[in-house]
Amino acid sequence: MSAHALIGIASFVLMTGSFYFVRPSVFLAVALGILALSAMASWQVAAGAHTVIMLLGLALYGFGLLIVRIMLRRSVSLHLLSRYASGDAAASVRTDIASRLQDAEHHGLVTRSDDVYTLTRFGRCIVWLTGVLRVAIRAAS
Amino acid sequence: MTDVAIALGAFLLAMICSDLVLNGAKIQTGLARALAVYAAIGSGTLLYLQLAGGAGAIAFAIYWAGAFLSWFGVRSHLESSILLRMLALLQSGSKTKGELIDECERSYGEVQRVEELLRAGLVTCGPETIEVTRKGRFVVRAAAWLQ
Repeated sequence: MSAHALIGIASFVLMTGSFYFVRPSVFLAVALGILALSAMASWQVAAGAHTVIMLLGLALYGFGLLIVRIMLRRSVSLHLLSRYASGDAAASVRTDIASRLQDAEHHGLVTRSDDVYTLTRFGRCIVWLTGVLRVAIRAAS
Repeated sequence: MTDVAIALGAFLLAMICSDLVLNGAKIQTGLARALAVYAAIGSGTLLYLQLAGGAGAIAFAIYWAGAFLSWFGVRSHLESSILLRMLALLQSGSKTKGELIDECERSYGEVQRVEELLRAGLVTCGPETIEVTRKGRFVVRAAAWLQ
């Protein structure tokens, strides 16, 4: 097995391991660190398409892990499934839905005045971006 | 950098074919179909690259794993994110908390979610309650482990 392949496997395993063992708030920094080290090491061994593809893959993998973690923590359907599994008959999707509004305010996507919510400029950007992605998906299918 | 272009092109093709195969179904209920598409296109691309003496198998395998995971994550969010749905609702103007929650519940409340869990084989309807299947329990355990 080539040195390049070993670097790739090691980076992949490190990133996967850090997803499980490292605190979520630190994972992004760790993933970027692994990516940087991998880039330096693999570029010295074999600069070219191999390295670009591998680094692109590691970057996508790290991004994917981040997104999946958000899904696992935030998914209303998954929470519902967990409550059914634990026998909690008092499942409340409405409470989960309400907490998303708090998240939106916390992340600066909306502002609140009394009980009325309004999109911020950042929120409008996110809506625009997701709209573009949805159109692209519809166009593709 | 032809190999990079081929890899990016393969990813684009896999995204398009997965959406065609899903045919409007949510990614969580059509995951096996999407995985099959990615496996087929990934294998084909890898074979081509190997025969053409292109990028290494390990490099491409890592790339493909990352590509699938990113696509899955973004697609799931676009389909199911309550937060994104709320933001879209607010595009037409300010709303109260009650209005936003009511609208989200109407379009994607407990009834619709249970239907989706039924379609995915994660729950079944018992005599009086909703019962979680073995597959559903596995998903719950896996999610708890990964969090």
